[in-house]
Amino acid sequence: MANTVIGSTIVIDGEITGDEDLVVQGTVKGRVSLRENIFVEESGVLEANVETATITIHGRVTGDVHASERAELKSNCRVVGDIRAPRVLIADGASFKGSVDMDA
Amino acid sequence: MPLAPARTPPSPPSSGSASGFGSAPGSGFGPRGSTSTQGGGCVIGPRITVRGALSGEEDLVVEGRIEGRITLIGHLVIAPGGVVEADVEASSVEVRGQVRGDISAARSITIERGAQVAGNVRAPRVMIHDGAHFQGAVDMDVALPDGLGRSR
Repeated sequence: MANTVIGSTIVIDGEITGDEDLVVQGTVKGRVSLRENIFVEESGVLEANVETATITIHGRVTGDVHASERAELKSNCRVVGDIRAPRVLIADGASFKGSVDMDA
Repeated sequence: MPLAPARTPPSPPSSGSASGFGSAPGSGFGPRGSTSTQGGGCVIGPRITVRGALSGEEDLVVEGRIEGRITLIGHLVIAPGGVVEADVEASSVEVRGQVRGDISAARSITIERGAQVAGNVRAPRVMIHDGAHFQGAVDMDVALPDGLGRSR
């Protein structure tokens, strides 16, 4: 089963839906709605509202995140937006502006 | 390339498991960042749908579904399960799946056996293999679209 990798020079302006893991090294603007795991790497930029099972952010996310299992903000990430997830991990060095709601 | 081992479609343990890539602190994806050079290969997996405009400067393999527009400086492969309902502009295109829309390439378009293309194709070189389904016009006298003339 292939893993979906959005390369660092790729820009997607629109909506991504799907049923498998997604690795974002490029730019996605719009909406992302997955049922699996999203990894936003350091070069990744997500300007989108996201619905997913888990999300792990090393890059930049601007938008609301709704994770049904877990949201993880790693060191050096920059996140602006609201996070709704039952488990939220924010690492030392992460930059985050928004609200956290763990009653998701 | 540090990211090379992880770039080719890896085999994640199972799609539903939460202990996939990112959970371990020293995991291969995290701290290294991206060192993408052209030809790294971007893959849109079989269960992903992208609706909108996709643009980029690297090679792309589509195994899922794309609706809208694709503008790529690079080699585009539409894998056997891929469905593209979009107008496509790329440096070169290899179709093994389904395309509904116009394809315009700076170098070549290849329509392989088993592919289904409904739309017009424009490229200096067009190859249609035995067993391909094709409906549309072929235009081989093409002025390069802006930005796609870059040699790779």
